Amino acid sequence: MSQAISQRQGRRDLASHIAGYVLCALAATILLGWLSPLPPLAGRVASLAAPGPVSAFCILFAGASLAAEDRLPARIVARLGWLVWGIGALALALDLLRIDVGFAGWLVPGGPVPDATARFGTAPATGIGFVAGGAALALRADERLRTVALTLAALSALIAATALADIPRFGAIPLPTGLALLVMNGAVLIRRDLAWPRLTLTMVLGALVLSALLPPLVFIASQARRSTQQRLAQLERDSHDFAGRIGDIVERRLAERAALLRALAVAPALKAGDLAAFYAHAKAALDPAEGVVVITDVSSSPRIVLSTAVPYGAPLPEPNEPDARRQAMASGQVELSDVFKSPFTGGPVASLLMLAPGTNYVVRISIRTQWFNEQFAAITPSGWILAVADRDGVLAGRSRDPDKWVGRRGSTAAWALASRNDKGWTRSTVVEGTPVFFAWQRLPSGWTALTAVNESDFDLVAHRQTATISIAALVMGVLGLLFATLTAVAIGRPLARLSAAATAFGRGAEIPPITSHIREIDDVITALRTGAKARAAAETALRAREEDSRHFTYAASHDLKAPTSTLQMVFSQMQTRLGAGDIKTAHELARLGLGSVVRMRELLGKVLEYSRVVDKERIREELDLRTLIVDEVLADLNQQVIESGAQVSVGELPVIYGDRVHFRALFQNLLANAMKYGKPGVAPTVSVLASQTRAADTLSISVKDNGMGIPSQFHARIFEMFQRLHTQNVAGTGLGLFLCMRIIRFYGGNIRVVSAPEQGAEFIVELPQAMRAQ
Amino acid sequence: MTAPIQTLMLIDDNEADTFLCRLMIEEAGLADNLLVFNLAEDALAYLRANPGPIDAILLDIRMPRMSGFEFIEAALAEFGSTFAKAVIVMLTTSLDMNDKMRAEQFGVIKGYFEKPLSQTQLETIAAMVSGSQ
Repeated sequence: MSQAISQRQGRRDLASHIAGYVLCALAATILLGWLSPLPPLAGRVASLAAPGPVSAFCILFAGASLAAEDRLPARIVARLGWLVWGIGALALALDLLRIDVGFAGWLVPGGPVPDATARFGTAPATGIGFVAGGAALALRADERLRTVALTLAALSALIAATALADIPRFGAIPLPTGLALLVMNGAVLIRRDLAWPRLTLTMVLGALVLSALLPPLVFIASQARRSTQQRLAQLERDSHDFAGRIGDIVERRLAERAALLRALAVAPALKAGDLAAFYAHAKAALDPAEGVVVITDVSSSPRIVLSTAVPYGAPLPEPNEPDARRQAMASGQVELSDVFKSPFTGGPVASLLMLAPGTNYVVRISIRTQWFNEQFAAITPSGWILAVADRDGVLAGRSRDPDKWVGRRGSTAAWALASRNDKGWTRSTVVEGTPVFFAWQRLPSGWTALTAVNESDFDLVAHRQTATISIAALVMGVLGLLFATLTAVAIGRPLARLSAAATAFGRGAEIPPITSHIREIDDVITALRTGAKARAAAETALRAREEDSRHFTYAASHDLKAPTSTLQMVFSQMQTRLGAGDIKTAHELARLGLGSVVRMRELLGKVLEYSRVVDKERIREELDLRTLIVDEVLADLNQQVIESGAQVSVGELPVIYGDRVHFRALFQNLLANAMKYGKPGVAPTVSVLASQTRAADTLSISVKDNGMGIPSQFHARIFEMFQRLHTQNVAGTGLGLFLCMRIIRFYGGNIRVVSAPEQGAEFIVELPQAMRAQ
Repeated sequence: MTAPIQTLMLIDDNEADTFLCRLMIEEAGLADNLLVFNLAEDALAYLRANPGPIDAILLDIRMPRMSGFEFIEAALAEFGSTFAKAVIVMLTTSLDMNDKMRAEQFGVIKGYFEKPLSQTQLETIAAMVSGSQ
């Protein structure tokens, strides 16, 4: 089963890689097409190659990420994905909002376009970009996202297909759908790559700088937009102006010809029916290069009876302009025909017709289109097309390529607009496969004057005029990014160091010797270092305490086990001796056994006291040490005081802030020792006094006796665990002073002894001054 | 009849233990001459005053003022090879592994016995004394 999965996975990987390479190739083609100095390719290939470098980059990215999926770090793929998506969204937003920022040609597929709504649905690069994104997501996404991604890909494929099929104004993919696609794309990316991305400082600063750049960019954009609109308005005026001028040319010409026609129609020769005389008259009145006169006899079925195009009496063709002739017969006025095919030359021609009064002759005078072509060409600026169309949309004159176009219908799309209104202007019409601005004006004669100017010519002008603004915006953007990067480095690097220090702190490792050159951050690093040291010290202390505790357990167990072994032997021997009647030895054994039991009991008491007192933080309270010693400690030791006959004096002592149990145990042990280790035959004298402090921050209390004293070599040892200076003849456990030491250390203080043999002993307790109750 | 050990020194601060030990040694007739000290310092003073040979020393480890180990170090420093001839046996209830390890580092320590002392252990000591002569 797992093999099947891995096979499927392998196939998916292979498909993913192949898709990646195909997309890369496509992107390379687009880039080459864009960079190529060759003239633009024609038709659909051109529209495919039209996408700018940004679209190509989007596709390239999608391809590269698919092809090298397992070789690129996921983090970089994600970052690039966001970047690409952001640029794409910005480009489309600019396009949709019809904001021309000059360099939009770099962003928007196909460059800035007049009708963005239409363009959105027809930009192949957009569609392909979505296909690539959708496919990439479909291949890489998890199960939940796959449906969304596949839908995205399908919709995108639809867009791309309609775009490639060159369906203008594809209505099925209107603006809202496009926006929905964008939002979906973004949502999928967000869900897939980062859930919600954790912000880094660089991102925050980048956003900050970008938001600072936004107002000037918006200003630039609005300026550019206004200037675009101004230029468009100017273009519209120019278009109508040109339309008016060619309208004048056409109308003047027609009027002039109509006057000539009228003069011919009333010629006496015609009324007289003398066609030969009329032929000579017409030949003289009309320059053959300017047109011909044709007479059609309509008395029965219409037939041409005269034409100055051919010698008089030569065979004549069939007539060819029935609609205008019928109108002329009905109205009796001069009528203008549409363009038709000349029965003499076969070329396109129009004519003015009139029924000669009192005859059955319709006189026709031809209007040579060539004359219009020449007149138009003379006033047409570069990039423009000026033309005139008849009532049916057939061109009667055209400034550019007249031989190709005159006598034919022009752009269907353009005529569809022009036939609707008498006058108008539109921003998106295709003429000769090229997008143009198109204007028209209906003429009094019923014909229509037409102008068209290439969008690309307008773009050229627009780009030239906004070049300065674009460069300024680009420089601003670059400076902004530079500033963002510098700021990010200046703050981000110190923060990264702080982060490293904090990480080390978190791991419990030593904090490396790093500085950030930013005071506040250095302060934090120093604080972390101090904290780390304090923690290390605390850990060491804790380990030492644990070691002490282990040692204590061993030692206490030993000292408790020893008497039991002894007692076992004592009883065993006692039994033997009693059996043998050795009462004296048995008695001695009983005495020794009893001593062992007493020591055990004493030791158990101390162990209990130790576990109750040591290392346990209790309630701290105000303790008047003098009251504590007089009222509690001496009361506890009353028996010992009476037995030893000791004189105990307690001086003025500080009021401290500490745990009652601790200090009661401390002084109990010190006073008991002072009375216990007296000189033989001398009553103990014990004094408790606040002594001179050695340091200002120390609070000293001295417990002094007149006892046997302690040789200096034992001054350190007496504070150690289970260390004694006396044999078991003298009661003691070796725990009392150890306990005192532990209590005082707990408060950060110290205890030491000043003594010499036979000179008495003075135990000096040193506590931090801070313990003094205020 | 001559006892297996001529001079046996017992150093232990526990009065009951020394009494019991003395009883057992006397009962077994193990030593001609038994010297008992409650403090190692006293034993050291005795050695200083009486340079005669000691055959065996039973030595407690934990004692006031001077531990068994300290006694050995002091005696080795003061009397050298004369002292090293004695069969030294540590006698303890110590459960502390450190004590045992420390004992093993002393070449002069021949045994490490746990209290209470048994008859068998006494015989082992006697055998060690006769073996070392």
